[in-house]
Amino acid sequence: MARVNDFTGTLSPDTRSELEEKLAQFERKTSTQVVVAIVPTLEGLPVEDYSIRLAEKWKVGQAGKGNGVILLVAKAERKVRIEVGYGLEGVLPDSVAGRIIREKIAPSFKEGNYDKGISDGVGAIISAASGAGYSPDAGASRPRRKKTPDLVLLFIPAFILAIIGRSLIQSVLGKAGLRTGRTRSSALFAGGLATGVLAGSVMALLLGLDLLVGGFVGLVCGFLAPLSAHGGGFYMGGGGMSFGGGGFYSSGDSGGGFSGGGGDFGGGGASGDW
Amino acid sequence: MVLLLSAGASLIGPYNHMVTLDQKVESQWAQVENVYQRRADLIPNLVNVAKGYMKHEKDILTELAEARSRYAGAPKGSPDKVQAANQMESVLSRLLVIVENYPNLKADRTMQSLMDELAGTENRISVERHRYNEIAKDFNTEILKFPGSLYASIFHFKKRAYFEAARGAEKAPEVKFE
Repeated sequence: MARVNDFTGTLSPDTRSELEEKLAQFERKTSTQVVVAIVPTLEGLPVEDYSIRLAEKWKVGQAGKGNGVILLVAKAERKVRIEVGYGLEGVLPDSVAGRIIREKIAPSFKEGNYDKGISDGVGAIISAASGAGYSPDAGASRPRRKKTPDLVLLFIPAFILAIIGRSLIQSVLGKAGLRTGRTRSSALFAGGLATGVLAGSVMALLLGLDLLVGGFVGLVCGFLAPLSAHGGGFYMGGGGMSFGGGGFYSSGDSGGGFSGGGGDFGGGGASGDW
Repeated sequence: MVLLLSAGASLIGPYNHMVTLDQKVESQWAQVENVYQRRADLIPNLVNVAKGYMKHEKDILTELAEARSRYAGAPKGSPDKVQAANQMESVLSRLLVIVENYPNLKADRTMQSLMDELAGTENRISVERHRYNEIAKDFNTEILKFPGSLYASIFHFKKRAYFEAARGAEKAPEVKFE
């Protein structure tokens, strides 16, 4: 179980990993557990019943503190519920939970923007649960600054992979006795592009990005690789280091074996629809 | 002697179990009364806000206020308390239907948050009642079985009444997520 449980594939991978990280950090800081569940259907149950059963099953929040919150979204019934643990009923009263649904979540859902609705909702829940209260402007989703770092993360390893690939081809061609001539340069060029595209695609898969984006970035890398190919051996040494970076990033969306702490719920919170 | 002691122990064990169960039912009942109280506490505010908008529906507001004072006056755990709680519940649900006809009242900020609190409280009540029923069922099963039945007749443990199943509680399907 993760903190963000999307059984419907509604959230974008970016939003999911961002929320996952945000909620993990919030728990480290305050021990409060906030969990998101997006389900296709409530299986015929009222949203309150479904939600309390989920809460009793997952035991979100710390034992004795009751500091757990579940944000439940049911797509088919178009129902939202914020289930609040015993210990948070003071800072996150039903009226605040209700306003978060009406003012933060439902408007975005109505426009079909589930990512924003859930991000804003989680932001407001965190703000209230940390004792900072609720105001309609708090926790509004920040302008997305994620795209650039993602592309950089994609570009650098892809570039290095392309260079490694190119130097491998170079040495293969060398062994085959081709050291000069048109065949060699066109083979090198095509091979460089191909390794670039391959490297870009692999990195895109690792980062959870669009394959097309990966392929394109890889193509650019394949083009650029010859420019720095003079010291191929040197780059190969450096290559190993940046792989660590890739692994670090992708661990973000697995959530790292989250489990509920034994928190208690008494049916507090609010429900709404969109 | 040893025989006597072990016979004694085997009698005391089940008895203690019965007492524990009985205590659990009691404390869960207290939980139910807690959330009833929570509902009762919301009523004065609700009446105040609604008064300003509902010029022609004073009767139901008076009725609600009366149900609340009757609830407050009944001794804890008494049948009268339960009756008063039920009365409060039915007046409240009638009021909520009437509120639908007053868009201005529904749009009122204070009213909205009161409605949230009320809905949340109704849900808490249904959760605590459900838990009460589960525990009362354990208890009732125990006093029907031997040797519980024996103790029940000696020590006057009485079968506990259930709340009528509300809102699909009787279906209890499985929630399948890990």
